[in-house]
Amino acid sequence: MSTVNRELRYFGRVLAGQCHELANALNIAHELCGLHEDTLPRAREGDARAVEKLGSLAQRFAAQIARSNAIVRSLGHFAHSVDEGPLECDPREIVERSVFFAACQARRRQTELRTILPEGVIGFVQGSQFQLQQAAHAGIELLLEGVTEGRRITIRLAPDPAGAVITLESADPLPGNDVAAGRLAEIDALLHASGCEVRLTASNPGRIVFFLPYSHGDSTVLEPHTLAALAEVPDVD
Amino acid sequence: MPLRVLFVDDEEDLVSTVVERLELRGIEATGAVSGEQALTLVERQPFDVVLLDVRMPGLGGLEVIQRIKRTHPDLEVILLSGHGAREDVETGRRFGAFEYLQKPVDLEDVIATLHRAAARREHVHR
Repeated sequence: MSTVNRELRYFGRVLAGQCHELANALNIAHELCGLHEDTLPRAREGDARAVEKLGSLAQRFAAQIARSNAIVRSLGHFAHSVDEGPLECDPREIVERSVFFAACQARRRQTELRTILPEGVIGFVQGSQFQLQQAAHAGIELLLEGVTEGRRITIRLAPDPAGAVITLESADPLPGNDVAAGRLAEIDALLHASGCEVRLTASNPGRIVFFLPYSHGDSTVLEPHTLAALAEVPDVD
Repeated sequence: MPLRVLFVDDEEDLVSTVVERLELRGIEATGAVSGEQALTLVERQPFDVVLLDVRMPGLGGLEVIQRIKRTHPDLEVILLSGHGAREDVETGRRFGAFEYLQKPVDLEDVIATLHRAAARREHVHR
């Protein structure tokens, strides 16, 4: 499959997932509208419980509007990330967006996605926001394929002197089939296109580590032993 | 006797809203937020019709309808979906779904379909 086809497939998958999420929020809003219409006549007659109900309905509407806004805002950023080209990007955004977009897939697998972000400032990294997001999302999807339902995948962002490190980790190993190997090769190619690297460890078969060099760092080429050391960081749980 | 309906969807707020709206129309409605919970409820209390979302985490609607039909072949099931995939419609019908509705659906249409399903159940039973 060509790079363009792979990117289109990813774009389509994200769009389809978020459309579904947006449709869910709109379905709830649709039913809340109906309940509002059902309640209004009683409230006009002075029924105190109906008046109280209208107040709670307003809050429930607001929750669905906030949910829809978050989806639309993320999709807007995502759509523009395609045009941005290989420049520099915020690694927090890469983690937050890929987790946001993978959340509906995780919910279907009844798996929690836990994000751990550093408290301090973390530098911008080199590369294409779109490609790096695609790689992170593909990594989460790969772990989701191997995860036992009801478990958790941890996505941790940590600063390193030479760049940002994103660790994707599950208690279950990655699937060991050819499809998974192909997906890993795709992730590797995506990261390399942005001057970044991916690492797996034999000691923890459920962990994928991305190293993203800072855009203005002194060192953009990582020594193999450093990458190996990053992949061997202690377990998060 | 009022119509006894089980509404199953993983969106909790949707479940509570639809259940409340059905009850305002004199229907005895119960909600479930997962396929697993729906199967437990079906074993514990009698229903005339199940209104079941197709896409849910864990046990999806198509899996749930198969299991319901195995143990309660006379219980009518109406499938609901947000995307209306042709494959799901055909699979659902093959598994014995009474009807397939695409969300968002007008509540009055849902109620009309519920009554038709209940009428068929009664007719077949008789």
